[in-house]
Amino acid sequence: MATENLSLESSLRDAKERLKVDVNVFPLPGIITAILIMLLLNFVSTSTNHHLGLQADIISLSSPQQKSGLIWLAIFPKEDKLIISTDDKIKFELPLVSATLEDLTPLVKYLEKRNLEITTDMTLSQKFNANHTKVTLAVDQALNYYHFRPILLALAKAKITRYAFETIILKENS
Amino acid sequence: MTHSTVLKLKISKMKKKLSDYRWSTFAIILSITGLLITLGLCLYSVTISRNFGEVSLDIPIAQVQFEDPTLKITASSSSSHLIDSLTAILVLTEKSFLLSNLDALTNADRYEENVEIIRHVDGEPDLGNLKNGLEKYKVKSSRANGRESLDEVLVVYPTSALPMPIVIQVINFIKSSHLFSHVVLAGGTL
Repeated sequence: MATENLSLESSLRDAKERLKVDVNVFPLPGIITAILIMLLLNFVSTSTNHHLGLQADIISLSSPQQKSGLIWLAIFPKEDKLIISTDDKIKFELPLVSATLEDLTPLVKYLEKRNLEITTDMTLSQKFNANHTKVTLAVDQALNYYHFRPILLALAKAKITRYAFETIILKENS
Repeated sequence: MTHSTVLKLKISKMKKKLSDYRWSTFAIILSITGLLITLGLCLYSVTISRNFGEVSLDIPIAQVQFEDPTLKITASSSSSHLIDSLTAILVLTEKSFLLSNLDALTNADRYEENVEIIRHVDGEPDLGNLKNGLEKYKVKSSRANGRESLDEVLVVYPTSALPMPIVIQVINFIKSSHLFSHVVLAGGTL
C-alpha cells in the first residue's frame, strides 16, 4: 500500500514537473488591480468631500450646524508661507508676514470668478439662496488675527458680504 | 467536439489543477481589500460634514445711489442696519474688552464716561461679564440715543497679536447671546 502511494506521489510529481508552465505575467494582474485601487482612492479623496485630508487644525466649539456655503477655503501656515487651499484643490500662497495687495490679486480674482459662477447659476435656475455665496473659512488655530486680516481684505475686495469660520461641533455629552 | 479539442481541454484542466500558480487569489484579495478601503472612505466622507459647524459674520456694504437712464429712475440699495459713529464697537485686547461706540472711543473727552472696560480673568476673556456689559450697553445706548433698532450691529476689533481661536470663540459667544443680529469683524489696513 505504502509502495503504491509512493509511486503515485512520484508519478504525480513527475507529471507536475512535465506540465509546469513558466508564467511570466505573474505580477501584472496585481499591478493592474493596485493601480485601479489607487485611482479610485485618489478620486474619492479629492472629489467626494473637501474635508478629507484637511490640513488646517480648526477649533472645536458648540456652534450651529454648517449651512450650504459653496466656497470653502482652508487657511494654514506652512514654513514662512500662508497657504490658502480651496474646495476645488487650488492653492494660493501668501507671505506669512506683511502680505501686500499685489499678493492678494490671484485670490481676489479666484473669489470673484467663483462668486460670478454661483450667482449666474442661481439666476439661470431662478433659485436664490443667500448661503450659496457665503465663504466658509477653515482657519488653523496656530494663526493670529494679524495673519487673517489679508484674507478679510481679499473677501471684501471680491465683493463677498457673508463669510463664516468653520468649527468642529463639540458634543457636550461626550 | 473533436478528440483533439477534448484532449486539449483535459490537458488545460490538468495544468490548472497541478499548477502552483496563485496570482488570481492574490489579485482577488487585493481588489476586495482595496474596494473595502474605498467604500469605507466614501462612507466617512459622506458622514464627516455633519461634524462641522460655523460662526457666521458679515462684511458691510456701502449704500449707493444708481441711475438707470433707460427707465429714467434713480434707485438706491436699501439697508436695514447702518454703521455710523454711534454703532457699538467691541475692542478685544490681550488684557480686556473695551465696549463703546466709535465716537466715544476716538474722542478723549467722552472716553472716560462712555467706554466700559471688562478685564480678562487669569488671561482668559470673561464672557459672563461681557454678556452683562453688552446687555447694559444696549439699554444705555437706546436710552441715550433713542435708536435701539440701529444697535443690532456690533463691530468687533481684535488686536493683531490675538490668536484666531480666541477671536472665533468670542464672536461665537456674541452670536449665541442673540444680542446683536449682525457682527462685523474690523480688518484695519494692511
